[in-house]
Amino acid sequence: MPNKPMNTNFQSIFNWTFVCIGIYLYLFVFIDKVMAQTISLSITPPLLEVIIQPDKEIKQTYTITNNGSDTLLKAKVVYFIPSDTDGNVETTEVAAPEWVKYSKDIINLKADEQKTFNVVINPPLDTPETDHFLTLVFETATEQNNIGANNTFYKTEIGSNILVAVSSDGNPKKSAEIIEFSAPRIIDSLSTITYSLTLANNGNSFWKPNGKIIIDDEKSLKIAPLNVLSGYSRKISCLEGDELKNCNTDPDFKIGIIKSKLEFRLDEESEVYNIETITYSFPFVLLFVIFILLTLIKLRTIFKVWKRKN
Amino acid sequence: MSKIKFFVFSFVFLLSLFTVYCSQFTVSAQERVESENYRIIFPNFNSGAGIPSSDNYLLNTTIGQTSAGLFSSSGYRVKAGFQYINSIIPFSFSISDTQINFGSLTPETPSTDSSTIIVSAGGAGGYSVKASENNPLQTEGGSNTIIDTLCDTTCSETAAGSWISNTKYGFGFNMSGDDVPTDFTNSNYFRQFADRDSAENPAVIMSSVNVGRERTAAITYKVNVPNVQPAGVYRNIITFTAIPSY
Repeated sequence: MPNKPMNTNFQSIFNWTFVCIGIYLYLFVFIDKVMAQTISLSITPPLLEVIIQPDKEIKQTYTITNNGSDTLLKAKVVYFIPSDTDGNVETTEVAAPEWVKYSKDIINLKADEQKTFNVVINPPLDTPETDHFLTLVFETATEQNNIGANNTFYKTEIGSNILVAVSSDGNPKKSAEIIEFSAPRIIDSLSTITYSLTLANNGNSFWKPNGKIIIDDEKSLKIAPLNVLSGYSRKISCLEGDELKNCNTDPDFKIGIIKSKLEFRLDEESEVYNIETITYSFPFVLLFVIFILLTLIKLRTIFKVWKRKN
Repeated sequence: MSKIKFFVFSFVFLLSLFTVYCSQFTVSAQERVESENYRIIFPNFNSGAGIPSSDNYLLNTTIGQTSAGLFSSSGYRVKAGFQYINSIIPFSFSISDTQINFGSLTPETPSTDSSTIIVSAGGAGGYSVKASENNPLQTEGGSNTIIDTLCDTTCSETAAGSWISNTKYGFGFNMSGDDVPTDFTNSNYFRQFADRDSAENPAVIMSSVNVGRERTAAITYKVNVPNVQPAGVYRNIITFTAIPSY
């Protein structure tokens, strides 16, 4: 009998300890979720280019992945306009034409979950032959957690661009203008040449330049096949492997005239655009060093002669 | 001495000759650049120069007929992803802490909090992240507002300014890390958020034209209120828009 209360007490303490650990673990997990909620989304493909005949249909499947906390997403497809000459965009509030079809349902994307999302492009027979620059945007719709404090909530939008050219024959009129192809006029023989290249599209449809900068018929730099949209211009980088880089020559010692020729085509078209620029390379640094050395030698000789005379 | 004079004279003479030579051609090169005949077209060019080799231009996903002549049979040509990389790399955006909590605000004592933004644009090139607010920090119903900061002297949604003084009030943000605008000179430089309620366009807070893998930046928010700021719970919503380049 005397042992019974002791056992009860022990049982009670054990129960309370168990409950406390449970509450602690629950709060730990709960607080972790509330205080460290993150938004982390990824979308693929990041770019879609479509040339389509009226009355034809294509379906593109996107994959959206959530590496953050549970979130609700809402999709929309809107027109964009280029915001600079670097290929960045500014989305508008103008919705895509009705023949760009997609689900407007809220997507419930759990943490570490991946879902597919279809966009169907089906321009009707009477669709004018023109380009449409669109962005598929996924917008988070996370509910606010009002905890009675001064605060700021986030909403994020992640996008993927869609370039659509409606064309009956697949050959919309393409035309380019070289806005800038320049290199320094005079360089030191030990320095590199940096090229600036900006192309404008004055045709009816977007295109990519395919070509290179040929230096003295010996070396070449591949220009990146970046999209240039109709009615806009774009700075063009060079390509090294899979990555974009500035159009720079490798360091080389050269004296005299360096001819740099830009040659490119628009997509797979036969017409070739080209332009040439000239750089004069002179060994300024080397000559300066030689001049200083010779002067020092000469001064030394003069000093020796002067010293001998005196 | 005469030998030195001869040497110096010869060098100066040669340098002058070269300068005159270069300046003459500089003029002609300039004319070439500005000429309307800048674009020279060779319709019958057939050497193949300028055509990239297929190995370097693998089409990661191409559906439909790539030959223009065969376009009519399928009726479409689709390219998904960037055509100069060998795989489709997802475009990713993440931001930590979906809620920034300033707690109780003390007049003339700035409150700050920060988040981390990470963007991956793969090997595909550029991207931009823009930010905007639905409205300045406001109480329920918008009866009271904490203004967007004007910094110590001036700043806007596109130009940062120094904000050190505790007697300058408002709400703003600072950026540091990869690909952030250069006007955020140091951690004391702040901007306002673009206010969509006042028809301001979202402003770029991170951007790059080149490769961007795991580009990381910290965004620090700051709010400072005067003694006369009415009591209340102030809130707003910041929208971040991350889009890869086209």
